[in-house]
Amino acid sequence: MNDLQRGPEILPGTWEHEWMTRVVRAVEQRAGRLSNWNGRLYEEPLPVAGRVDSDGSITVNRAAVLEPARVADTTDQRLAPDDGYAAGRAAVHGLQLARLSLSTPGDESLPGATKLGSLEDMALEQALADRWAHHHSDEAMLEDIGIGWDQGVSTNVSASSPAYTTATDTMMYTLSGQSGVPVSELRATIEKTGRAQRFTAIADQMIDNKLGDLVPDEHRAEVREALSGPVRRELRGLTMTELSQHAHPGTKLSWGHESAEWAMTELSANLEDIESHYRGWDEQHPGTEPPRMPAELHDTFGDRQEEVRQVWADRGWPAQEPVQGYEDNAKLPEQSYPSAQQQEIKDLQRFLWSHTGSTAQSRPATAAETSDNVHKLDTRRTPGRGVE
Amino acid sequence: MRTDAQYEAVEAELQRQLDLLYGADSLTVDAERSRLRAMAEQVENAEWRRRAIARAEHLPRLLAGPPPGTSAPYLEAQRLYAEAVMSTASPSDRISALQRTVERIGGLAAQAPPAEAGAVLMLNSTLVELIGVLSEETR
Repeated sequence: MNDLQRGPEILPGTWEHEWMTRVVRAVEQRAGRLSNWNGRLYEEPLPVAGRVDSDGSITVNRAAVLEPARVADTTDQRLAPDDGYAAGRAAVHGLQLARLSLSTPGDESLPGATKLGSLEDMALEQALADRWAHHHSDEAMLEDIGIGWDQGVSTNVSASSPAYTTATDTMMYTLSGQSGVPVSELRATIEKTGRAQRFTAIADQMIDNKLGDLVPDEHRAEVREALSGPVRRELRGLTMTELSQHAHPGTKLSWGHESAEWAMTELSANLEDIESHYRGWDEQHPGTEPPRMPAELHDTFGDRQEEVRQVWADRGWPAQEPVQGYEDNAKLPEQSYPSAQQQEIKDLQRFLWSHTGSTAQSRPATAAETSDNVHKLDTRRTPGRGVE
Repeated sequence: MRTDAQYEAVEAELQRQLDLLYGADSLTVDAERSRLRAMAEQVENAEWRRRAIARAEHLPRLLAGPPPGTSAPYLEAQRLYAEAVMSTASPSDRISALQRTVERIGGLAAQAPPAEAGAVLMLNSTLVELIGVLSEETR
């Protein structure tokens, strides 16, 4: 079954093929990486700007991308307002397509790999693509692809997923601050990593920077999980905010920003504990192989996960709000809520939990189980934030 | 790629400031914009100087990030997108549903205001990619 039909092939030697080649080469040069485009170009028959297929072919929409780009490329005159907007969008679409062609799928069979097409994979890729096009739709880039800045084009287009983009930015800057790696470098490292390995690459940045070779290779998988888990859950949960019809777009931005801050708080606390475990062992038993992290520490990670989930609940963010008895949503009692917004949140929660289940630890922490070197997650609360 | 070394220096400084100024207040951002503009005004080639100045002036907009859309077609497309990607139906059922969603979002892109139409259409790129992933799974 071929679910993704291609339109007619666009052959080398045509203006269209030559233009796409220019876009890909310009993006390669800016990104400092080679594209995986195999040189085959097809018309996109669906209402999509275009796509990069797994065989490396690119399909591109004639009406949305090629025609407006051609109008701008074949004249030096100022464009009519509608044509200027269309040319600007064509430029952004072309750059995003070319940028997508730089991404590689990675290896889904490796430990800790992210499934391609999972919520967190799509959220991260979409956020990176939005950000890349926003930062690099500059005058020189546009001139290079035949779209004159002084022709009245506008590349000031909206984000396709503001919550993802904001959340990813917040995480990148926080991780950059913690690891000492500049944001642009961190972003480039993640972008050039195969998509299935991007979340482990994020964890590796933290491990390599903070712990060096103190973590034995055979321990790395569980350490990665403790660090990448908060990021994965955060991005996965944000998809639910996009479902909300009652949340204003500005509210979604604030959800994206604040929920990312909480994910980073969880990650930082986990990282401190991991560092304490390995560094503490190294100081007391230099030169000897450290034990794996104790079960109590894994319980603490699970408790933090629950605490962050509770923060989402307290803020009224729909995605991670726990619903009593979520393991069996059919048994949830029907309640009436005072507003459509609250009703919607409850409906969204049911939907989410019925689709994702729980990954939380089942055993709650007690004071006795929390060792002295385990840092309690910051539980500061800001009243009145969240759903507005 | 045509370029100019002095323009590229302004661009590199702009990208560096995008890293450094995250979360900075508007006074700080404006001071940096002025400094970047002064640097851009030193570009010798008139054409590249004009581009560098325009680029420097974009600093606050780039820092703010791409704005969210506000139109009804944009919001509806986001809802349809989220609904489609969160479905846990069988791969073949999901493919059919995704194809319908792609058509509906395509229609919404045509109705969206110019600044938001591209963002709406981009949602479809992810959905089509997901169709590709699911198609592989059903083979």
